[in-house]
Amino acid sequence: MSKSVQPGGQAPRVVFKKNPPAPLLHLLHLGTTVGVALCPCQDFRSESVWTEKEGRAPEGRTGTDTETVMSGDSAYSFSLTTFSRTGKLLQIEYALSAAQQGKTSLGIRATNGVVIATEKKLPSVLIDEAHVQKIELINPSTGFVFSGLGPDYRVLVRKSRKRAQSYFLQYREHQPVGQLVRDTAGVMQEFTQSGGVRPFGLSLLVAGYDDNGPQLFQVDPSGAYFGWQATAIGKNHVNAKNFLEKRYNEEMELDDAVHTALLTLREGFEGEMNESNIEIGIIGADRKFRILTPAEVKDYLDEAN
Amino acid sequence: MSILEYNGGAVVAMVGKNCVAIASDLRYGVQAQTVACNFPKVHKMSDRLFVGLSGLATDIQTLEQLLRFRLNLYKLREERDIKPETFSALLSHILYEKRFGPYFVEPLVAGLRAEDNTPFISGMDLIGAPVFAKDFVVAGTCAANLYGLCESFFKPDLEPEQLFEVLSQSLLASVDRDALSGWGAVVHVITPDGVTSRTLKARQD
Repeated sequence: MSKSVQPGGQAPRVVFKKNPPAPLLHLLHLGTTVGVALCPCQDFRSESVWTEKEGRAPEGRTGTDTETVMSGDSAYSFSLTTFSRTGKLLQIEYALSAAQQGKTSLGIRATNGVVIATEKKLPSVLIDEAHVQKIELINPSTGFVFSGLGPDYRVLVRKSRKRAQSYFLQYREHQPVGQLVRDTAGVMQEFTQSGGVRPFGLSLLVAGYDDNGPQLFQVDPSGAYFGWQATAIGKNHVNAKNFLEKRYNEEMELDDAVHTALLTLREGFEGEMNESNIEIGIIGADRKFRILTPAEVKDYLDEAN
Repeated sequence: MSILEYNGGAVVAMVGKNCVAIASDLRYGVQAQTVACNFPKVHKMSDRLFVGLSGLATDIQTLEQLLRFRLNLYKLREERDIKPETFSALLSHILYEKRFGPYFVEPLVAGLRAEDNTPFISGMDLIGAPVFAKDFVVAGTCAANLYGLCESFFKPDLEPEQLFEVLSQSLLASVDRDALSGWGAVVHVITPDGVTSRTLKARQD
């Protein structure tokens, strides 16, 4: 059985191919009597409920009509992300704007490491900042930060950590940053094409250090990913990127990069920046990613002043 | 009789100075009956990485194909050659995945590390429990013989030519006292400059 919506704004109609849904059988008998194989099937029951709710009861339109047939077992698994007539995927664009409304995050790749930093401004002074964490360790040599929806981020972090651990289980070697980024981007892509899910409302920055040296990546909700020398995501990312373009140079070392990161963050920061309303993660030549403690962040802030 | 001894065979790997050698016999038999003398049990996995598989011949062939498959995918995905350590871990993982219906093979891994030309060898049992040795690893129906001879002949920091000699003599002497292995041997010596593979003239009885 199948549904098909006629183009040109005509009333939607339901077309049965073989098996009518059980709850609709009485309708069939009330209307014209047509020789239909009566085979109540569980799968169709839920679909017919949906049909009734939407006010699309067949109104006695029955028969063995077979036009525009789609497979019946996946009525609920249509992707939400469907091409618009202009060839755009609007859901992905909306997800991207959700990411761009998030708090600013930025990253800088130095000669001997990578720094990622983010704003951690909270809606209320009553929230305990110590329990908000936006930078996460994925494997010993990789860290994530995001701009966008926090809960979506946790899902992604969990999946990426699991992927990194299964890589380690198989190869007894830490997953290289590029591989981890590709896998994570793969997950984000899947969420633009699968049924019953929506895209992730966030952009990621990935900092890591492996045999290919220090690396910084950005991953977007569409699953597109880019390698950067320095970049910013979230609110103010355009200004922050302009600022970074002026300040960045290729000989920069990790300490300078941290300072530049703080300066860039301060550009778009509303209010006073202190050790508890920003977060910094670094990875150096020891290939150990770590999140700076508030005390260390304070030291960097004091140096900058 | 263990199924590991059904077809017979011997494999051995030995470490030298910035080089490593791995060798196997050439016999393929069915219990005491020798069927063929052209069955090498050492396979080239990449330029500087070899794996030796002793045990049940059918599983040797299947595992060799599986490893090649996994390695081809690895190379495409990671755009680099696998490290010997990593390959050993992968093999160990593949074997333990079949913990309760194992491949009846005892593999050896021998390779040179790309970074500094230091040798790597490892051996494992049929469910992938690895052993990492500094000198030599052995496997097959005459493993006990190989242990004895390698322990007597091995010296640290051998040059490639000496290593070839020590390994060849250990293998030939071992298989001569084993009815299920022998009938020829092949030796690969991996050096930073390349691999030399030689087929040994051995007793045919």
